[in-house]
Amino acid sequence: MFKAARIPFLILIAIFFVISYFSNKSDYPRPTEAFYINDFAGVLMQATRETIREEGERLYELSQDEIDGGSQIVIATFEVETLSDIANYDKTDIYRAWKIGDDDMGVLVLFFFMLDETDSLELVETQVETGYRMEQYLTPSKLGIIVDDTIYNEEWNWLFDMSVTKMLYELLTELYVNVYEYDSFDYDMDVFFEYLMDYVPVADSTTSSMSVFLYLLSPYSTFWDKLFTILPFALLVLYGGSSAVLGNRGGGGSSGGMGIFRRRR
Amino acid sequence: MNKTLLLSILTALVVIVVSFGIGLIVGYNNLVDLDEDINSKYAQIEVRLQERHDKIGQIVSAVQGLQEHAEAIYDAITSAREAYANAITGTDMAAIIEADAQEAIALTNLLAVVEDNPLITASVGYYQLIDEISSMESALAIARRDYNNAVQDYNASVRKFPRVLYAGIFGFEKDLPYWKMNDGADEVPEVVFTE
Repeated sequence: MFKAARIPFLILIAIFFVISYFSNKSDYPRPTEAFYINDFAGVLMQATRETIREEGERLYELSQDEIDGGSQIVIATFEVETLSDIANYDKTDIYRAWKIGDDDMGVLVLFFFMLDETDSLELVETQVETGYRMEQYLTPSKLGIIVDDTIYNEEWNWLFDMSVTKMLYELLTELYVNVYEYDSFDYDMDVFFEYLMDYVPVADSTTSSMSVFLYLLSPYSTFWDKLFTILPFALLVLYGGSSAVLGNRGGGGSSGGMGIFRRRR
Repeated sequence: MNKTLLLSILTALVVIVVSFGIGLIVGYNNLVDLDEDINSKYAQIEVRLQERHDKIGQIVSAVQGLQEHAEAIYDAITSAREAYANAITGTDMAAIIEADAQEAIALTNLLAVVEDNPLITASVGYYQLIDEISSMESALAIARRDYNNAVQDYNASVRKFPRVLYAGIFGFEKDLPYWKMNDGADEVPEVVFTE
C-alpha cells in the first residue's frame, strides 16, 4: 500500500518543488550560505571573506543581549557591464530581501565592479544602506567618513582586501564602542596583512548563492515554499534538524533608504 | 421526501450564508489591514519630511555666508520651510505634497549653489553635508514609493469583486490618491566624488 503511494507522492513533491522554485525567483541573488559576505564579483581573497564572516558572526552573537542588539554587517560585491547597470540593484530592496539585522539593526555594503581597459575588475561604486534602527547610530555623515577613509583612501585601497577589511573594522569599532559601549575594539592591519599572505585556502561557500534546499529552509523563502516542499520532505526523512545545516541568516530587519553612495568619476 | 428536500435547502442556505459571512469578515479584515498599511506608510513619510525639515535648518546655518552668496536660494528655502510648517499643521495632503516638492527643489538648488562655491566646497563639512542631503532624499524617495505601493495594493483590492460590493457598505474609499510629485522634484540628487 505504502509502496504504491510512494511514487505519486514523490512526483507531487517534485512538482511543488519545481513550481515554488521558479515562481519565486527574485530579481536579486539570494545571499550566500556565509550570509555576511557575498562576493559575487569574486574579487576578494578567501582569507578576507573568512574574516568578514567570522567578524559578522561574532558581532551578531556578542550583541544579542545588548540594547539594540543583533547587529549584522553584510557585504556584497557585484560585477556590472556598464555604470547604468548599477541602477538595476536597489540597495533597499536587497536589504529587505536579505532581512539584515534583528529589529532593523543592520548594515548592508554593496560594491560594484566593472572591467577596465586592462580587463581587470575596478571598483566603480560603493553603496551603504542602514536598517531603520541603525540609522540613529550610523548616520550618513559617519558612514561617509568611514568609507572615504578606508575604501577611497590610498593608504588602504592599493589592495581591495585591505580597504574592505579596514572599513569593516571601522564599522565594528563604531558599533562595539559607541553603540554597545565596549571600552575599545582593537585590530591591527599589519597582522591582518600577514594573515592574508599566509592563509591556506579551504572549501568555500561565500561566492555563490545558497542552494535551493538551504533557501527553502531559510527565512527568505515564503510560507508556501516551505509548506509545499519542506514539509513533505521533512515527513519523508522524519526528523530533519534543519538548524544544523542552515548556516548564517538575516535577523528579519528592514530599511528605508538611509545610507550613502560613492561613485568614482 | 419533502422533509429531506427542505433539509437540503436549509443546509444549502446555511452554507451560503456562512460562506458569505466568512467572505465578508475576511474581506473586511483584509481591507482594514491594507488601510492600516497605508496609514503606517504615510506616517513614515511624515517622519522623513520632518527629519528633512529639521535638517535643512541645520544645513542653512552650517553653510556660512549662504545668504550673501545666494539671496534667492536662501529665500526659496525659507519659504519652502514655511510652506511645510503650515501644511503639516493641517490635514490637506495636497498641501503637504506641494510643500514636499518645494523643499526638494530648494534643496537641489542649494546643492547647486554649494557646488559652485569653492569657499564652501573646500570646507571640511562639505562632504558630510552632501551625504546628509543625498541620504535624506533617498530615504524620502523610498518612503514615497512604499506609500504608493500600499495605495496601489489598496486601490486594486477595493475595486475587485466581491470586495467592491461591501467596500461601499463599510465606507471604504475606493480611489485613494497617490503621492505624486512634479517631474524631477522627487529625484535623489546624484553625488559624484573624486578621489
